[in-house]
Amino acid sequence: MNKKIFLFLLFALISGGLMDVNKVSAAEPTFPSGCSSALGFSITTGSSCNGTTSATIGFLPGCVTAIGYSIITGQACSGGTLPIQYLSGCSSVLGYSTITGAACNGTNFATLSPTEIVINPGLPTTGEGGNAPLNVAISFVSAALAAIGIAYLVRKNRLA
Amino acid sequence: MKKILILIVTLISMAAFVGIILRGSIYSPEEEITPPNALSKIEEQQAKLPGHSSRLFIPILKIDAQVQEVGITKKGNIGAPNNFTDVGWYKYGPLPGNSGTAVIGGHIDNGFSFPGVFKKLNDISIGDDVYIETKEGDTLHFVVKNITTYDYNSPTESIFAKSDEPTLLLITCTGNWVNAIRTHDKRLVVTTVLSKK
Repeated sequence: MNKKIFLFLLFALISGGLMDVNKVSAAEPTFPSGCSSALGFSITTGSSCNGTTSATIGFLPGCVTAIGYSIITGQACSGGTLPIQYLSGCSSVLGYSTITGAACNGTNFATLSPTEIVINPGLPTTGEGGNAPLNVAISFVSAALAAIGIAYLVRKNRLA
Repeated sequence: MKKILILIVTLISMAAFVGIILRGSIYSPEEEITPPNALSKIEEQQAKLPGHSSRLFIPILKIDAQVQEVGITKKGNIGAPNNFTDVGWYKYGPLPGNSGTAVIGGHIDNGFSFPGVFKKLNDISIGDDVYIETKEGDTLHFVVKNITTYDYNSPTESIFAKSDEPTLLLITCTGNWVNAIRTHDKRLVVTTVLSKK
């Protein structure tokens, strides 16, 4: 019985955690974790984004971003076999994706317009009350799981 | 083996519990970007000026808050303070009391829906007093001139319009929480001007 409750709570905790992860629409083509193109290094793993031992540093000849085709070679500027148009959550190559937070120019550093930012930053986000139900649920489930786990371990130690 | 697995799950659960409590009630990280050169220069120039804010007082609302300096987020918005009790001054804009429009933001609530520093900001009225204490110990007196609600994504040209009169905007979230954008759908903007008295 305890095992069933334990498994249920574990499932609930994992589900709750996953619910908080932003849904990311698939961008084509895809690149390794922490990479928005095949150029440079992954920001999460530090590995080369082109899947080899030596990373491609900088933009390819005939490319000024990782998006589109090289005007010299005609190959995809992404460093992969397929070209990138706009990244998911981007309507241009400027700024950051509204979905993934990655730079819209396909590199790890966004192209920003300093003039726009100085004059027109967006309004701040100043409240998190809407996250309360999820936060409460996760805290209850995690507390319950921890309590059950501790009780189980204590009981096992006594019996041993 | 089973015992080790349960020990691991227990430890993860305990860490998740502590993490969610801290994240929801105390700490509110804001992913700010390293500014482009133009903004770095503004920051350097601002740093040399006297009159940086230390505390914000709004007697009528019983607000007495420390002032943090905030920049710009990845999304190009003004940053917010990293906790729910302080307020954040936008460091690439004018200093409060100087010519132009200074901006200070504060949270309305935390991740457990408990009140943030600006929970009662919508109770403020035109003519109420707002004070800024500077790091040099001077006190600047502002008076509420206007109270407006905007959509969360409103263009800010007119909101942050240049003003010869030293203006201080106090901003917080209001309206309804929208899950899709993970924020409230409105922003309350209280416009105050430096008192000439």
